[in-house]
Amino acid sequence: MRPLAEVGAGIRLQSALVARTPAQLLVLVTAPLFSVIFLSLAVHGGAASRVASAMIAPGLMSMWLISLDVAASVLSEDRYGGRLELFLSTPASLSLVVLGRILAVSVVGMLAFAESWLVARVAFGVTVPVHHPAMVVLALAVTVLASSFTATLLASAFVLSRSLHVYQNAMSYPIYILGGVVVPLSALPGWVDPLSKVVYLSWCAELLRNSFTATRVPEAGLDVAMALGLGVLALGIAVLLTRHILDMLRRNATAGLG
Amino acid sequence: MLAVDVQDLTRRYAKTRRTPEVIALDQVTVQVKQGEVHGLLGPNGAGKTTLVKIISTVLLPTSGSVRVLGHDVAHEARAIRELVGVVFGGERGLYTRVSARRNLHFWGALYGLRGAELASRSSALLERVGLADHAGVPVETFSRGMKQRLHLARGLIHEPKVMFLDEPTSGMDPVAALEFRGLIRELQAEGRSILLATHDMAEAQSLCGSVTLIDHGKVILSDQTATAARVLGVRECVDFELSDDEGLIAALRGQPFVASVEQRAAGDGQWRVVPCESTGIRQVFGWLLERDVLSARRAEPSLEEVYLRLVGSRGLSL
Repeated sequence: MRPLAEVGAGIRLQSALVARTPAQLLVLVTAPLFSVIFLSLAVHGGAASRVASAMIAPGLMSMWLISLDVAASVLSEDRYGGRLELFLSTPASLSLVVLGRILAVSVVGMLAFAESWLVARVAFGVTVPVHHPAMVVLALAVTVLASSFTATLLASAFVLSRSLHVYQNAMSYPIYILGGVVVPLSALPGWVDPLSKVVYLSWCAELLRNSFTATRVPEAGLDVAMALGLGVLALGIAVLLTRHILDMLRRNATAGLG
Repeated sequence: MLAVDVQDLTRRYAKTRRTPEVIALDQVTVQVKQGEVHGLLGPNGAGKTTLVKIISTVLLPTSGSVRVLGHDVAHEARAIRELVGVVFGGERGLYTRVSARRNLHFWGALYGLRGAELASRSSALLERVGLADHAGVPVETFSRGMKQRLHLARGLIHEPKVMFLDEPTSGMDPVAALEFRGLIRELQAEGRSILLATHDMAEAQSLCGSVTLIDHGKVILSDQTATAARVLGVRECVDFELSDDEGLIAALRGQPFVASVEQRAAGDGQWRVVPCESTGIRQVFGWLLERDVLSARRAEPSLEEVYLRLVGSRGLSL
């Protein structure tokens, strides 16, 4: 089970790095502020039915943001730190190690959901009931995995970029919009809908919202399958793309820039 | 089977908008026998690091053949990566915010090590390179020498059969460098094959059984270290010490069996006589002893002198 060991190596390394650099989790500080904004709009804007969505949105945004942040920095830092060249001399799969590193922070990113739930309770006096606890756990696990798989693909694409923070910023709000996180997809123009279907976050958001609110979770299986399917597809492309990029770096002698 | 077999290797760096095409290695042939320490010598920019990177599968060759323990670098990179350990010089390449032990655990896991085996190997290596007392300390607090020793431990974590060391003692203080060389001798004694890229001639002379000298991407010397000087056509010579006797030096220069008398770079009063013929060495000894110069001893030009003779004329230019 060497692939799992490589993912595990990435998780342990990133956990140790985060312990030494807690600023990587800064998003957990800003998430409650987003919760205040969204919950204010829901509670005081007369949209009480949307409280659960308002509580979930900061969690989803934080998880994507934290995954994206690691994805953008992990390979470029290794490249400029002279570690990518050493990595090339090992038999390990770079994609799987990167996946492990992203997973380590994505899991911690789940705390943003708890923060948001507490903000609703403490600041607004609203308790969001959990109708399907098991489904919520499953939805969170699927969201963590799909976010990490997708971010791994972006990490591969970012490695060649010298303006990665520009791309990193550009990859945040479009995903929130297409994922129906900030504004419900039903409120957006019709042409957005087909695009949102290929964004894993839209399926995760749907699954989470239904887990908190619906008395029964309609099409939960489809939501899980689509979120994971899109994530696995992204990971598969990441593995192939990384292989291609590393071959290119070996050909062009650009693995060790910096 | 050779540990490393490089045949007619050429590596070009393609022309870019800002740089012309560069031929980093031009028809290079190098062979490293199993169990041998082979020195790869040359000035900065000669192509040493490019060669080490190609052999360690970090770079692809443009043309030619490179085999490590029989495996081709272009088509069997994964097999090679399991067998070789790479130590690049300098302080880069480590995760400096985490501990030495965490670094070894991470790199070891990439070679499929885990659990108790990984933990025990890491501890043993940290002990071996003298970092056991600093195992839990963040690497960013380490001196350059300590980082270099950690690099060596990292390169050894999977117990490779072949090691590529690229200027591993660069920037180390003399004591640390001496200790590091001791470690390299131990590795050789364990049967590992080592390719050592360096421009420290004393290091190469003390560690390497054979050497290859590269300049401008071309091999200009490849020989056993002990006999490398002979490629210059330089014969055995006589070294002696003599201060403040210009007359005797002038008289020696005038002898028919003497080709040259030169002051050595080693210091004032250190001289080297090269006889005209190999048999002239007896006459040189006899002549000096008759004049009470008792410090005379047989010598061959050192590797450093060979190096300086072959590439020294370029000064600071690349």
